[in-house]
Amino acid sequence: MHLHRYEKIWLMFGMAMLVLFLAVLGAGTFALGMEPPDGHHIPVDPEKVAETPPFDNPGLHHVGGNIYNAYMIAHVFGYKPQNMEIPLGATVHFQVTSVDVVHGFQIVGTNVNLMAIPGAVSHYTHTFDEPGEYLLLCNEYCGAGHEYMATRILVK
Amino acid sequence: MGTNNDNRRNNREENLNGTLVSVLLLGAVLALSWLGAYAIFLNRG
Amino acid sequence: MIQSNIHESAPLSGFTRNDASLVLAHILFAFAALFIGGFAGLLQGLVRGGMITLPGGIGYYQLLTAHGVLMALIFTTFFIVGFLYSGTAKTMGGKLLPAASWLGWAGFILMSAGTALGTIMILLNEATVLYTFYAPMKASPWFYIALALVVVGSWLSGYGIFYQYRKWRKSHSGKLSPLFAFMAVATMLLWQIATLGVAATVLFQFIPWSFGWVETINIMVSRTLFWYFGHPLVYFWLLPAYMVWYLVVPKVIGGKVFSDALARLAFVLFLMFSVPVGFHHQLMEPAIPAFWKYVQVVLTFMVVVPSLMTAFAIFATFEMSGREKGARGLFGWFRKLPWSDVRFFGPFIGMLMFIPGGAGGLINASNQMNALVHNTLWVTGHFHLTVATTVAVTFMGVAYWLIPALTNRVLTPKVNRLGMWQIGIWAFGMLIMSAAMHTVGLLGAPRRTAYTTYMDNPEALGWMPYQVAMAVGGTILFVSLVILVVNIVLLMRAPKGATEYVLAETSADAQPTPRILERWGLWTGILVVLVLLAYTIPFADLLNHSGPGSKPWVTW
Repeated sequence: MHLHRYEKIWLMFGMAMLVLFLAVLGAGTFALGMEPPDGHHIPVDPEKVAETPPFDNPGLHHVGGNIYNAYMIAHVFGYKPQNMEIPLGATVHFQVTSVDVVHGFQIVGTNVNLMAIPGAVSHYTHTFDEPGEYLLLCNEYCGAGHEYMATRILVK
Repeated sequence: MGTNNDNRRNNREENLNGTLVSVLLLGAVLALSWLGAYAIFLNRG
Repeated sequence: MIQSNIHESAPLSGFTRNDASLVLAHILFAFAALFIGGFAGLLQGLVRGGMITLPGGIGYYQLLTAHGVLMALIFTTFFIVGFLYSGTAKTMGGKLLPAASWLGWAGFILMSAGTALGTIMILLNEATVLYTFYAPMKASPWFYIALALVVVGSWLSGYGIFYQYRKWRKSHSGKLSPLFAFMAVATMLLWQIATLGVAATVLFQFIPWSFGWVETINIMVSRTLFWYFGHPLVYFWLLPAYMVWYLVVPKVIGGKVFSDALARLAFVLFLMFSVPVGFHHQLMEPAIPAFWKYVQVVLTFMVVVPSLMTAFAIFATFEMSGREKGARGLFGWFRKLPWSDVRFFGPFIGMLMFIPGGAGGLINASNQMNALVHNTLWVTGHFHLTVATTVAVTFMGVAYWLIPALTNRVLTPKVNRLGMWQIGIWAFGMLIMSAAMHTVGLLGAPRRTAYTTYMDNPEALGWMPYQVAMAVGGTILFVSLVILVVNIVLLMRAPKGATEYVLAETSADAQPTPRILERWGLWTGILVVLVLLAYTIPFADLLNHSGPGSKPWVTW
């Protein structure tokens, strides 16, 4: 099939650009730990979340040094715990599930933006280098109170 | 096939200079917007 | 009215009454859905902009459900089926064969029934689950049945087109199929394969679960089946718009199809690569490993290539036709384009808006970078550029000649001018609304959310000016819709006469098109292999390791 010389140039340029972007994304995901919210499949019975570790003790847990685990529960129409406090500079491994419907979990101004799905646990890690009050909101429609579903994360 | 001088208008290869510039500009828009978004992403990480 | 060499000769006048009625029914139904859905959108914008509160009896999320269903499923599907039937009749024999016509009408009836039933359930607040109806929110089973009716109806519509195509090929054996027909078949074949996913989840999961015959639902399986459908859905919308750009626009500007072969190749690439990519709508979800998300992101980037080819073809068509008319210099051909012809201006606006639309899409699909935009108003801004402008405005541009062609009337200069205004106003409103959406989305504002300031949170208050701009843009869009309705009425009452059914010819000295492009079995086979490669392992994992499933929730 005949391609005009310029079309060949354009497609080579275009495909090179796409390959470059994929390489950057791939390196980020597989080498630099910047993968999207984790896919390790740990099923949780949504009706038994309150008694299933680690969600039987939601909140921030110090692991050592600057590392913390944050176990959080999404529900209609809020989060547990609310107004969680995080020390400045902490690296937090969020683990989030839902007890009812699918919720969003977005910390505005960061890349923490994951889906809380009943039956599964979502992981994402963020280091809080900036102090302040962060808005944590639900960005996945979950019912009549969806627009009220939010809390704050306080980093100091 | 296609060994004619591409800058001469003929039956095989038309003058598509404007097309080439246009698509490369389009490519630049795609690249710049992607890089800009990636920069914001890295900044928030 | 038998014609030979359909794709070479100019179309004869007129459609049969039956065929015209069938196509017109689809087109008018589509625009009715667009108008009602648009009214819902207007109200949504005004609510989020803090300008009105809704009266009791209708909720924001009901409106949003109606808006999504009517715009993204009904307007699109009905227009596409109507348009494809018009070209099927035109290019393959001049009229629909009886079986094709029967299937077309049967499809229309089922789809209309489904639309009516679904709309009733939405208005009764029994289905306030948005058009993605994510589990475990449970709507009335009649809502899911309504969706099934629409989908099954559309299958019948597709079979009518396949039937006419097969008959044409048998009676023209050895000849290259008309380009319109090839593209129509590719589109409906893509649709058939894509809808298997949503049909599976609706028929085997949602309907039994919502009737109470089954206690729990596997959420991740339902989401995965939905998005297996949801990505090729957008190509089902885009391909007919591309058909207009490849086949109609060259004729309007006085040129020919740039390359028949490359156009077919692009469509074959779309067929193969727009399906095995659903995970890029699920990048922020658990239970799908990073490896598989990345695999599907790679496949997604491959589906960008036929769009790059299309961009080249369009510019080349413009330039070649402009140079034929004596344009000189690098961009002289740009001025030779028929700017005041609404049949060009509509699709052109569609093309223009696809530049930011496509750029945004590339960003959305970029694996970990999706975290920047997931579920924010950026995504809403993206698809209002793509489906609501690229596709919708291209379709509007078509309607201005298709409706007269169907009704044996003329597109008068007055309606042409009003059409230019209508489309220009749409573009203006969309620029404001979509720019505001993209910006405020980057600032974190969520999509699919009613008016709120999150208890006067300072970040959220900072979003308000953008949401006001969205309301302004949305209002301007609604004005455009009102003008569109007026124009349609004027078109239906225009003076009688002949209007060309606009289709471009391929250049006489174009290279012959490789026949391998028409080997549907081969391309479908490759598509099946790609889907199996991209989905088997992660999907099997979701089926087998998902815990007890979820009971129904009605949270609205």
